[in-house]
Amino acid sequence: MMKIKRIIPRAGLICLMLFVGVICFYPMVSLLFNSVLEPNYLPRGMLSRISHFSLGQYYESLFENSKFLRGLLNSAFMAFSITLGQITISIPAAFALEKYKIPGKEILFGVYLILVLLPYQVLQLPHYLLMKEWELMDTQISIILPNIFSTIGVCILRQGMRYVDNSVLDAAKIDGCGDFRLLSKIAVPGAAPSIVAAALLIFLDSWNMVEAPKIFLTSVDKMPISMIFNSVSGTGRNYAMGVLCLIIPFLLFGLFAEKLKSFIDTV
Amino acid sequence: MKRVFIRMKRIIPPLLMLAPSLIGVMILYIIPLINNFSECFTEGVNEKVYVGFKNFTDLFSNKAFALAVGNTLRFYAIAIPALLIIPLLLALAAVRNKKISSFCTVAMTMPIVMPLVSVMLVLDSFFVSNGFLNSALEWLGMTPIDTHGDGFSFVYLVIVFVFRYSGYNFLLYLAGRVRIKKEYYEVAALDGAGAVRSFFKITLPLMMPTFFLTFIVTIINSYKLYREVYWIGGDYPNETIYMIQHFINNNLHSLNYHRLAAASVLILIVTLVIVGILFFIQSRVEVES
Repeated sequence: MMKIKRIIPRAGLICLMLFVGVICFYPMVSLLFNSVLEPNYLPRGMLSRISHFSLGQYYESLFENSKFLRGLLNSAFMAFSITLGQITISIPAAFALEKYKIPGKEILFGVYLILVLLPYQVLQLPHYLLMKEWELMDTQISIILPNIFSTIGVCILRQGMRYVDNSVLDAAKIDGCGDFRLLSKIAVPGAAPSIVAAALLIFLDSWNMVEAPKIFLTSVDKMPISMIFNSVSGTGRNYAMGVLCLIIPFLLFGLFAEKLKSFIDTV
Repeated sequence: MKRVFIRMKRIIPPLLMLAPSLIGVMILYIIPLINNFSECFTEGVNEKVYVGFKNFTDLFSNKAFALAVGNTLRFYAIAIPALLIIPLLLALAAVRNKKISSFCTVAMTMPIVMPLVSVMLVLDSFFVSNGFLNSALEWLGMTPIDTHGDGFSFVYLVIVFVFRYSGYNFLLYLAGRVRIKKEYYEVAALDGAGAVRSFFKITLPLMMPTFFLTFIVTIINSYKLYREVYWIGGDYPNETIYMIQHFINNNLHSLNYHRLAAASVLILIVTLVIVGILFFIQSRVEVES
């Protein structure tokens, strides 16, 4: 009787987790399976798929569909620029805010936090008018620039800078280490998990952006992949494109998953 | 005099580090937002005339705006609680077993990493006319679901949204729950406290910081709602998923800047009030514990 009492919750737990696993992995598996079907084939039924096997659509969408490849490159360019730009600007700012005594820094950080919590919709008109004034409409800069100065990077990195040891910083200072050397030699390695986590989150977010490109971009050859590849039906060709879209995010994620996890464990 | 000089010298490097971010935020965020404030009380493109609260009264009588606000709030009222509760229950269940929790961590990161485009392609395939779910429904003699139609698109949106953003909250909850020492529960069990009691007396208070963080993350994620809507409804969605973002897009398109400025100031104020309440609650909770 005791045994049954112990087994039932356990079995229930395993069932629940299997259910979660199926839901979470299904899109990935289904995408991969369907992506090896003929370009114009709409998958139906399990068995009939075998006779429609093809890999040509991968080649076709990468090398013959210039619109798709262009979108992929645009997405990569914008997402990498935003990530790199925001991280390079946020690291020193977060370090200064966390480790130095600056008058009024808590108020400033409060403003940064509010900006993070501000819906993007509030900023859309101000940004639109600004970009119009600067004659940057229909350029990718109009999307990259505001995102580089988005304050979420500073907020995440400040959290990470807390784990940089103060006594190490003080010791280095006494040994005559300059402030910028402190930043590059001690703070950056010390806050590495948070830097990687912030970079990953910013990148994944930029990879999916729709709101800003919708407003600022008009020419198709500048659009990111999330704009040109929209509301399409699930043929073999489109599934193959779906797979191609997720290669870069997955590669980056695979490379940095450990660091991300160690960051989440500390927040 | 010398002392002041040394202090000045000390503050220069951190100010230099802060400068790029500060200048960018000033030019690209703060000043445009302030300009926006003056814009919302004026009218006209070249010669601006002060019109008081006319833009606001116009906005309140605008049917599209009312529809957009109503839909957006309705969406948040359903999606945010779901995003806060479902991952919490999963995390509390998963934490009982190490193998299961590491499996779940991997599983729940999948929707985070997968691009929207790839996820939607698969989810849509459930609901297309010859898809898995609709074939099943038809076979059962029920009417098939149309994700672009009035009846189902809102529900579909909620499902997609919860699926895509549960992962973040799950990871945060799990990390927060793992940090609570096992001994607390053991002592509570010895004293005869049941699972429910130890949840309310141990887990809930100790996870307060985590709850606060997840709430903030959920709010930030919920602003990205338009991405899913855009896939489902495109530029001209049906009335049930017409959101504030559509209202902005349409009015930018027809150059109604002043009306938009009023809308944006309104959303700003509402957000500030909510953020204020949030931080007030947080400081209260911190004082208590």
